[in-house]
Amino acid sequence: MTVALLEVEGLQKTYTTRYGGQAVPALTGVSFTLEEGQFAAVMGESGSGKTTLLNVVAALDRPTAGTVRLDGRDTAAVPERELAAFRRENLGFVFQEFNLLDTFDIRDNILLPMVLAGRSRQEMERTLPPLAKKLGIADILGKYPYEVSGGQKQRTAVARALILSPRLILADEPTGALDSRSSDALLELLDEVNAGGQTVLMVTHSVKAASHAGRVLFIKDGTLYHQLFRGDDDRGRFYGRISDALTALAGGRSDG
Amino acid sequence: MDERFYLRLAWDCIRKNRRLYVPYLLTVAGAAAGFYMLATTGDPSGMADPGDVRLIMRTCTVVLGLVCGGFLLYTNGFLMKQRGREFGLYAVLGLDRSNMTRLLAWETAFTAAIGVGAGLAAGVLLDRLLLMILAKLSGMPYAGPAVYGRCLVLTAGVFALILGLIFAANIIRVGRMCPTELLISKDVGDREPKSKWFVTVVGIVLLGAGYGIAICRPALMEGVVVEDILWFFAAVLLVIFGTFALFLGGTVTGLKLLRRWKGYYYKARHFVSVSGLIHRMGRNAAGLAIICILSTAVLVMVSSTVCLRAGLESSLRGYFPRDVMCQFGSMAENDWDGLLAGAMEDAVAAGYHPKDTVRYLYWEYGWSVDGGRTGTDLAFVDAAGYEAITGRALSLGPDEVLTDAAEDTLTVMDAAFTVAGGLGPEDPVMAYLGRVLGVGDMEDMPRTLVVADGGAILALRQRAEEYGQTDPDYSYSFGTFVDHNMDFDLPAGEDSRACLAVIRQYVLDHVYEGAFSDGSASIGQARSDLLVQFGSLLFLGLFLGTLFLGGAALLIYYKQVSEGYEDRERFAVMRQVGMDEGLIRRSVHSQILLVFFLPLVTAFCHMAAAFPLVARLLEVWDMSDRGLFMVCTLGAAAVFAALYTAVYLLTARVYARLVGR
Ligand SMILES: Nc1ncnc2c1ncn2[C@@H]1O[C@H](COP(=O)(O)OP(=O)(O)OP(=O)(O)O)[C@@H](O)[C@H]1O
Ligand SMILES: [Mg+2]
Repeated sequence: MTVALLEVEGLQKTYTTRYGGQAVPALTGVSFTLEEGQFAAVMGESGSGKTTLLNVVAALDRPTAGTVRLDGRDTAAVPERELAAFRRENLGFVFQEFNLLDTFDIRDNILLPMVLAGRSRQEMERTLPPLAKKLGIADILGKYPYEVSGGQKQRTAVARALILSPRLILADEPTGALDSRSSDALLELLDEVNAGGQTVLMVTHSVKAASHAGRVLFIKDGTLYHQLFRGDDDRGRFYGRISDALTALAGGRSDG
Repeated sequence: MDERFYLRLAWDCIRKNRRLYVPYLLTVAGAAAGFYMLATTGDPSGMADPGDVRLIMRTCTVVLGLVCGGFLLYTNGFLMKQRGREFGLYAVLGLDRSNMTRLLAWETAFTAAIGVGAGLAAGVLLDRLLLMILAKLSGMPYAGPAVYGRCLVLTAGVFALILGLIFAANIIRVGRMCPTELLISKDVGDREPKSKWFVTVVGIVLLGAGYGIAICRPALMEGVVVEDILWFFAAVLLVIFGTFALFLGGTVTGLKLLRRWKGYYYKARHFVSVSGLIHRMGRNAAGLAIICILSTAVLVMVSSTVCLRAGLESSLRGYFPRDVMCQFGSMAENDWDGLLAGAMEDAVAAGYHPKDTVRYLYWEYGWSVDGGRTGTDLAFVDAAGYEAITGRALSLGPDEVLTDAAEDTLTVMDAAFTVAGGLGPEDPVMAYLGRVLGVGDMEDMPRTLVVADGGAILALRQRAEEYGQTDPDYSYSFGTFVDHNMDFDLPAGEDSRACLAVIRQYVLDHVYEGAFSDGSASIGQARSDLLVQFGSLLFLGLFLGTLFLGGAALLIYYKQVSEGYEDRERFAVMRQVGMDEGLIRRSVHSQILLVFFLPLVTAFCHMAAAFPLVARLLEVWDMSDRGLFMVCTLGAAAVFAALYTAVYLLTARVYARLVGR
């Protein structure tokens, strides 16, 4: 029996622009639940609110209305000073812009969450090499972020999100900067991680990436517009269904 | 393209970068104003020059010109680095090198017009005030024109030259880089700095040598001679280069060692701080070294000149046991008792109230036999003088003396004396004579004999003269005159200089014979002589100290701004990857504190190392009060630390604004 790891209810987020105080609605009411061990993809046009959704789920941003419950706990109720530790222990976040620190080399960027969590050095030495090897970044560990390619940065960001084996992995277009071979490797890694019991919520524009998920959420103009479950389909069939749904979505727009 | 286009573009560039340009223009203006003002103090059309003051001021003006040039070149480099991306963008948008040169030319023209113009205006306005301060500190009469044309031209010329050089450097800088490099040039600064073992070792060696000289040299010094000044400058240069090398190499190398120590490095607190510091230090080393050296210069200049000025009165008192010290002597037998008594009556008649008067005879005599192989110095004081100085009664027979001999009898030029009592170095007479003669170490005093009276001294002098005539190998070096001394104090408010003048006039009018010696001195005259010297040194110390402090403040501001720009992004990222706010703030603040207080602490170390040598050099000006110098040093350090902290806190607000959410 599965437990609801993430419950999102009536989530709204309205940005107020710094100048002029104009209100920009980014999320206008999103509700869904994610069971422990699920692998879900989020798709939608650029600007539809996917990054905003992930940020609010990760408590990087506060919702304007609605609640996010992680393992039954309302993230809005977590005090500010515990938030960082809470996030570290429960969430792994792969940022769309990678957000690597240029004062650290690749190794230290990946190890950052472990160091912050006060893990032992033996544990770091045990965990890092296999992960780096799987992501194909084992031989650039000594380099600095400005010395490596965009794809290598992205894989570094993924490694950082995975290093503490968090229960929920939030990935914002983790294959966006990757060629098809490295993105296959990355998706396999996510599959593997998911098979091990970790929950994944991944934003993607790629149908192929989405087809790895067990479920796809479609977002449009800040609302959950449509959902697909993979059920017993194999990846190929699911790929087809996602493509169709996207076409229908685009068609819906031209109609509306 | 039209010239007006470049003019407008240049002006826009300055306006857009005002956070960087305003302090830069202020620096140019401040430097120009400072240079002009210092130049006016050495201008011949200005104040009268009783000593070498004008020469000192001119030398300092030249030095200041060089310092300003170097400093502006450095701050400009900093500014250009921050603007690298902007120039890259222009290059991408199609401005070629000649276009860029024209843009830079206009920018330089604006900088010169605004910066130097404002500087000269401020200089002219503040100059009167400054000269009045100089006049007040040095006791020189204040005079001089309101505007010194020659200095204006000189200042404009010097700064045109400096800005011209900077312009040339900028053209080379922009011309050498290709557009993409310019575009990323801001990020290039973020590169991980390399460990520099060689530089570090050189730094340690240079600094060690400089400290070694500063600490060991004073013990080897007998008096202070020119060579010691050279040693001082050698130590200064060694420490300057050592500081640069150590900041450039040592900090990063040391931090990298820390990072290699895995057990230490992989702890949450150290992890962030150490890696952050490696980058900060790599970027800021040169600026921090400059801040450190400017701070050291301020501390040494201010503490030593304040000490000289503060010690003026007590060192004067050292030489002047009484306010007025009359000292006359002659070959012929003038009735000096009568002359001095008459002079004293005149002084009283002129409204002076002499008190604690001390009359004594003093004759110092040195001879050598065999062309200097054997010889000795002797000094003679009469018994009445002994009584006057010590207040003790003393009666000596004609063949009795007081001296510090171990024997009971003593022969001076074949005259036999019985030693009637001791005269150790702690005796009040010896202390008194030591002050008058300016002998710091009692070991250096001539052997002193107290004899019965003036007659006994004259008899000895007669004999010495006869010896000199009969024996060709025998010569006496001094002691031609027996000095008749009359020292007295005046009540506060009475002018010792004028009083001495009355006495001198009387002696001049009444002396029987023209040839007489006059070694008289008044504390008032000595004070005003020293005041001119020490006052103008103090003025220089405070003036240059203020300018250098301003320079250091400006660098701190620039550093805070650049740190702020960089930390803004880093802050946001750290927050997102799960560092809690407290840890971020704590570690970033401790890094910044370290970055800004490292130069201060190093400057204090330099100052402590310089202490013995500077204390020794102050003896050139007869300042040998170590305790006072220590107080001045600590005081200067405390005031400087307070000002430094204030500058840090004020500029930290700019930083806080930049990184704030
Ligand atoms: N900090 C912000 N301030 C104001 N408006 C914002 C802010 N962040 C996002 N928005 C707006 O909110 C909307 C949703 O943005 P969001 O970043 O979530 O889109 P996205 O789905 O992630 O797009 P993409 O696929 O391009 O990454 C957009 O219209 C965007 O302009
Ligand atoms: Mg996005």
